[in-house]
Amino acid sequence: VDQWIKIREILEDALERDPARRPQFIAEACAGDTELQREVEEYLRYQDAAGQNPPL
Amino acid sequence: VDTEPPKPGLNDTVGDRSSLNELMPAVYAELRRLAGRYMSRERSGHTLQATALLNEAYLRMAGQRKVDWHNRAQLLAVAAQMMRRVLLDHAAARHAAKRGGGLLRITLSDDFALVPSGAVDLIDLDRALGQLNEIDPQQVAVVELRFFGGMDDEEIGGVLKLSPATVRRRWASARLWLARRLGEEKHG
Repeated sequence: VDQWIKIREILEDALERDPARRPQFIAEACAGDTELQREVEEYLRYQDAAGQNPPL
Repeated sequence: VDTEPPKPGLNDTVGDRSSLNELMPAVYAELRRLAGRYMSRERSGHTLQATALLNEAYLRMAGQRKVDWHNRAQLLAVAAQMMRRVLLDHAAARHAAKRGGGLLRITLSDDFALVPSGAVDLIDLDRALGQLNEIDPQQVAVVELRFFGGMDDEEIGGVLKLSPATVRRRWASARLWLARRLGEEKHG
């Protein structure tokens, strides 16, 4: 549960940023926690897969 | 005296519980009736516009009953939960009867493009929502209100006591959680 809340916060922050700036933002937000970073990036893949999403 | 515990987040803004409780069976019956009609009409595609259905139900209810709703959101919040149940009932019945490949396909609103085809198996979605509910019940409430209730960020925020911006954030992350869960189920 706690892990999802952590992922969720970074994910939501990342989604509010320009797609081009997301990778750097995520890397910084995860601060070396590679497992956390991997999870956030995995969820973001589904954002890309969904195609044209309206600006959030 | 109402002894049933209120559903978290949904009933706490309702000023007149008794009229709401009286109306709930009627709302449910109306949704079932409408859903049945839509389903029989859409025999080949099994496509159901949940939001259109709900709006129609709402208009009928609001027109027929002299109930003093504090706002439209209160009825829609209740109806959204019922809608999920009604649709799931239909999906389960269809599944059991092995008609239409057992899949109930519902057209999701444009911004709910979880899968490329724009359609999800409702039984899978319901199961995924149940799993999300264990880690983040508030997100499930947001999804229910938006997806099954057709409510906007403002209305959902009013029901859940969140800012519209927070509703938007929760929705954005919830749909990714659901997309991943549904994707993993589909592909093993």
